[in-house]
Amino acid sequence: MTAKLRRITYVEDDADIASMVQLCLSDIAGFDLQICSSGAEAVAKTAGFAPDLILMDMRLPDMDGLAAHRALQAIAGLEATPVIFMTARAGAGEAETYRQNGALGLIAKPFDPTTLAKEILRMWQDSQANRAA
Amino acid sequence: MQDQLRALIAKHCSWLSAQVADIATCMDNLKSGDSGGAADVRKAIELTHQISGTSGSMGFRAVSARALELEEHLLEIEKMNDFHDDARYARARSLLGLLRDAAGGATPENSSLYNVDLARL
Repeated sequence: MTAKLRRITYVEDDADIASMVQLCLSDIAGFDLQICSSGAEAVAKTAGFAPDLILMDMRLPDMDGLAAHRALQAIAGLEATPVIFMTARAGAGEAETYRQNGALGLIAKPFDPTTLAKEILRMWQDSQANRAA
Repeated sequence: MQDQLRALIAKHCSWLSAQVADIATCMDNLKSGDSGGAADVRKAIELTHQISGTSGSMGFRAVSARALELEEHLLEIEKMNDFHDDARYARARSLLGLLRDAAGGATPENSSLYNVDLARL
């Protein structure tokens, strides 16, 4: 049985990009979206939101995305929450690093707002299919 | 929602102008040599990185590409740890000029997202 993607925590410090993602993922695609502007805010708030998926920018004001993800994984209930990283450095080497850190995938910045929701959904469905196999 | 999208793009265009002006200030400070250079180059790298990451997502791919070119050149200057090399500075100025030209043409109506039909996404 595959789980449906409903709740997404998005960690991003750029307010305009966060607004664009909110428009794409929440207003248009209908996901329940929580936005956090720093790693510390994500650590403080995400457990209460209980997301199905974490969308993590790599450059945050207080820590990098990998460190923020590790901090979230240390919280009860979030140990196995899947993550997708967003980064301007999306080369093959980086992608492998992120996969080794348990990422479902990598979204390159700049991203295409018109396909963002579909891209995330595709990564989610692929991971669900792999889990079921 | 279309109005929301267009308002976001318009806000980005204003931000972009200010951002490019701030990069130019960093470059001026670098040339004057008062600050030693490292801090100016680091700040310019941060500013160009923000542009390369955000402008493309606002429908201005050419601006993003120009910002990335400048960012990579500034990273090279930082890596060389030589902030007063005339040739590298001239190249940075040239790339800044290209970025400024691209950013100057970034009006909301010129965004590739301006006329996107959100209802069809």
